[in-house]
Order: sequence, then structure tokens, then C-alpha cells
Amino acid sequence: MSEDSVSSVVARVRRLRASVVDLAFVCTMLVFVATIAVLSFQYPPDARVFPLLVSIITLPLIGILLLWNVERVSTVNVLPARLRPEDKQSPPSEERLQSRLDTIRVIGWIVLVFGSTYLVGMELSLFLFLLAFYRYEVGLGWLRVGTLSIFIWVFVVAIFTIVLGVPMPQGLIYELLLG
Amino acid sequence: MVPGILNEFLTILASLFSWPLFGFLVLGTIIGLVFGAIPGLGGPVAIALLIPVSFGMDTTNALVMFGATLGGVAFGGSTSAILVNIPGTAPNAATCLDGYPMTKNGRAGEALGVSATASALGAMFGIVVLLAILPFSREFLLLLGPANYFWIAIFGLVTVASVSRGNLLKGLASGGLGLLISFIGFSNVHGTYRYGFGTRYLYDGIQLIPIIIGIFAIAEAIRMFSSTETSISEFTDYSSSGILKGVIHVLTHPLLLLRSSVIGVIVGVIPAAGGAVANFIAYMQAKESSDDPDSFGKGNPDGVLASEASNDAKDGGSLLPTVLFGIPGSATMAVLLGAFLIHGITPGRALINEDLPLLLTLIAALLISNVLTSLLGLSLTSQLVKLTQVDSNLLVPAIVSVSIVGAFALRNNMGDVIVAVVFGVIGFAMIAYNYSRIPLILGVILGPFTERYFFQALQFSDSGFMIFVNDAISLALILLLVVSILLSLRHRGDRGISTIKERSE
Repeated sequence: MSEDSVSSVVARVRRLRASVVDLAFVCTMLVFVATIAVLSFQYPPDARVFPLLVSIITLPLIGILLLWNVERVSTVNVLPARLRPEDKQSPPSEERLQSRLDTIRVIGWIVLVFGSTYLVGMELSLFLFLLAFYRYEVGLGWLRVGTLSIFIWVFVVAIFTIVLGVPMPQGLIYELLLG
Repeated sequence: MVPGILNEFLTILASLFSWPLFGFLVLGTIIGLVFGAIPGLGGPVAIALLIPVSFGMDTTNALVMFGATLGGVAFGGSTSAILVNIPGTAPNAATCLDGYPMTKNGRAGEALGVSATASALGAMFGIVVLLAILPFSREFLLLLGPANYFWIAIFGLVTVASVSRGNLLKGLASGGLGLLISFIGFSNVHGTYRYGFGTRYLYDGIQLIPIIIGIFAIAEAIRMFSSTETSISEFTDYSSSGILKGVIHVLTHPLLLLRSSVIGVIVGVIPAAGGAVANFIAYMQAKESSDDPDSFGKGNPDGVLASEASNDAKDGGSLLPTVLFGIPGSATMAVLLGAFLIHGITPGRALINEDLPLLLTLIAALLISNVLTSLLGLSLTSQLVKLTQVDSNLLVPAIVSVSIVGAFALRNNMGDVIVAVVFGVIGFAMIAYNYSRIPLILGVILGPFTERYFFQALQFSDSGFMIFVNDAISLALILLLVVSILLSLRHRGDRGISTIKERSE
């Protein structure tokens, strides 16, 4: 990806209003609840009655939240005033837009750790994650990076592998090397 | 009955001074102090991260550690509230109002002495009340049938949704989502595999512990990294002289201590109301009943006393609905409930009868750790305060690492790690967009029980669905449920009307 395209993606993410992201979150909830409701009909009556009941009660609640978010996004009044949920959330400031990028970055790191576990195993991927995060995100010098990473890694390995005897996944590369 | 439980409690209390229980007590207390002192962490994250560590432990040792952590968190939070004006946990917020001005006036030692003493005594009061009510709760639980338990679960869920953060709709939606998540997987009640799309992983349902780790620990890690606030705080050296003066101040104000502790216990019992509400109510009552209300906010030790006594007394109160009905009194209790379940401890009749020694162990650990916390906390104050100056970004990888390994350790299954990460993102979204996480967790916990009670009640019924409305306890619970919703709507309506009026002026 070229620098220009990365910058334009970053700019779009920063311009995205918090209310739009909130709307997307509500839509996701709505889809989940609706899916449960629809899938319920394939089960016997006893097995579906309770989930269906909960879905039927939850759907209009999320529906009202959805309409409220549509109002915020479009600034058109859809709901009667009495039904409009009160919320003190303030509009995003420049600082919060910057924090949105931080949010995406830290989630990216977490997904990367998870993904690399399949490749190199959990112990190694955690150690590499600690080194890389402290160095490139927190901006520490190599001495502090090494100290902190080794300390935390040893603590985690000691507790979970040695004390609790949890067999950490070894990863694809390890399995290939072993045969 | 009461002497029986009291004797058993005293025996268990004495046994906590033996090894290794005392070791776990001290460990839990220190962990609680550290997590309480660092803003943004607190009880829910501490216990969420300790749950996977406790997998291989004996249940008694695990409960001692959890109880001690609970006791340590409250005082840890007050240390940073007093010395650097940053509450370590939300329930310590009111402590800042007078605690920090006392520090600025050179009376930090006195403030810490007040806090330590009020915390320890407030906690003792809460525990005494809990122990006093327990014997009668046994008899009460025997009166309840499946239909009553069903309504208790619904009442708990709705009340939690209506008093927690955000608005009522979001709280109820969060609770509904939690219930629906709990229905995924094989149902023991019906012998049917539901909503799993035929996958092997979802056959056992979505596990509670990875959800808790994600929603509380990973979500907090994401929030810490994304937050534009820094945890670097202004701190000037303080003198520890005056601690004794603070201790004496508490002992010479017994009525204020008692009133504040009572408020803490009562508010603690209300599901999801939590310490943040308790300590502000106690603070306001201290101010209103004071001979010098104008001095509040400028360094009046009574403000610290009231806030801290209620904050610690609430633990006893919030344990009550948690252990009797599985309805948590706070976010920390919600996570503790998850810890109970993972160790095979089920709230309700079984816990009060067969597993009573385990419950008394938890309570005894909470009692001792509150005293230990005050002593340790006073001697480690300067080190604890340094924790508040730690860049929160340094904690993020540590929390993520422990969370990922902890989620995996539950069943040695990477699927649980995926669940933890996904719920970490969901949890962060809930924080960012003002949805309470407690109703969701409660829905996940209560879903299977609620459905089971629903069908058990129908099985025992000669009158079909009428079993849900044909006894006094069920009707009382339904009435409480309706009143709870109406009060919540009215409270939010009053706020809405005042907001509309403000906007129109």
C-alpha cells in the first residue's frame, strides 16, 4: 500500500463520526438478535420458546436505539421526544479522533499476536509482541524493552506453563521442524 | 442457628492464619492494593486476570485469594485518590474531594490514617451485617420454588440494567444480548444443540471466562491505550506524620462511621449500584449533617471518613445478592460470580447449605484482608503512589499477554482466545458508546438458570403458566420489577425534561 493510500484511509477513519460507528455497533447487535430469532424456528417448540421470547423483547429495544442513532447521524428527528433515550455522550474532539487510530492499532496488535501464535507458537509470539510493542508503540529504549519483556514473559510462562502445567500451542513452524 | 454459623466463621477465621492460606491472603491483598492503586484497573480486571491463574488451585485457596483481592482493591484506590487526586477505582471518587485537599494542605498522613481506619472498620461492619443476615437467608431460600427463582433472575437482570451506566434501553439491550449469547450451544434442559451452526467449538456454548476476560481485561487494555488521558500525575512528597491523628479522628466520630457504613451496606445490596453510588451518598450525608458543611471539599477529614467507610462496607452488602441469588451487586461481584462458577460453586441454596464453609472462607478472607490492607497500605504508600505515575501504555501488553494465555488455559483451546479477543473489542465498544457491561455478563450467567427454572416451574405446575403468578412471592417480585422499571423511567424522564428545558432556554 502506498503512503498516499494509507494517508487517505487514515483520513477517512479520522473523519468518520463517532455516531456512525455507534450506528454500526447497534446494527451488528440487531443482526445478531434477528439471526437468533430466525434460527429459533428450526428447533422444537420447547427449545425455541425462551430464546424467541428474549429476542422479541430485545428487538424493539435495539430498534429504538437504531432509530436514535439514525437521528444522530442524519440530524432528522425520527423518534418522538418521549422515546428519545437521553445520552450525555459528547461529539468527538480532535483528541478522540486520534484515539480512534490508537484503538485500531492496539486491536491490530492483539490480532497479530493471535495470528502469529499459529505460526510460531504462543510463547514465542508473546515474547515478540512484548518486544515489538514496547519498542515501537511505547517508544522505550532497548534496555527497558528487554527488561520489561523478559520480566513479563517469564512471569506468564512461570505461572501458566510451570505452575499450572498448561501446554502452550507450539505453532506450525515448530511442528514442521520436528517433522 | 446464629451461634452455629458464628462458631464456624471464627474457626475458619483462625485457620486463615495457617500456611498456605495466609500466603494466599497476603498475595491477594497485595494484588488488590496494586490493581486498586493503578487507575483504570481495579477489582473487575484483577479478578478477571486471577481466574485463569486459579484454575489449578484448591477451591479454598482460590477463594481466599479472591476475597483478599477484593479487600485490597478499595484501599489501593483511596491511596491514589488522596495523594494524586486520581481515584484508583470509581468507588474512590468521592475520596478525592477532601482527601486531595488535605494532601495539598500538608495533611496527607492524616488523610491516609482516616482512610485506612474507616476502610477497615467499614468493612467489618459490612461483614457483620452479612453474617447476621445469612442464617435467616437460609430459611428464606427454602421458601422459594423454581417460579420464584425465575422472577428473581428476571428482576435482577432488569434492575441491573436500569441502575447501571448508560440509559435504560442500552442496559436492557445489553442484558438481552447476554441472555441470547447464553443460549448458544447444547441445552441440557431440552437436549438440543442451538445456534451453533453445527460447529464443534460452539457445542459447549460460548464459555463465560473468556467473555469475562475479554469484556473486562482486554477491553480495559484497549481503552487504556486509546485514552488521551495520561496517568502521569502531579505528586509531591508527603509526610507520614499525622497517621495516628487520622486514626483517632475516625474513632472519635463513631456515629458518622456507623451512618456511612449503613449507607454502604444498603446501597451495596442494590444490584449494580456499586460503590461509586455508595460513597457519594455517604459523602453528601456527612456534609449535610456536618456543623461546618462549607469546609467540605477543602480538606475536611469527615469527607474521607464517610466515603471510605461506605466504600468498604458495600462489599458486605453486595456479596448478599451475589451469593444468595447470583445477582451481582457490582461489576467486581459479577466477575467474582464467574470465578465461583468456574470453581463449581453455585450461588443460592447449595452455597448457603452444603458449601457454607467456602462462603465463610471468602468472607473471612475479606475481613482479614481489609485489616491487612490498611496496615500494608499505610506502610507501602510511597511505593503504591509511584504506581499511579506508571504510563498506562506499559500495562497494556502485560494485560493482553495474561489475558490471551489465561483464556487459552481454560480448556487449552484457541477458540477461547478468539472469544476473549472478540469480546474485548465488544467490551471496548460498550465502554465507548456508554453501554453497561454488567447486564451482559449477568445475562450470560443467568440465561441457563433462568431457562431451567422456567421449565422446571412448568413441569411442577398443575395450572400451566399460572404457576408464575399464583403465589405471594412471585407477585411481590413482579411488583418490584414493575416499580423498578417505572422508577427508572421516571428518573430518566425527569433528567430528560430538565435537559429539554435547558436546551429550550
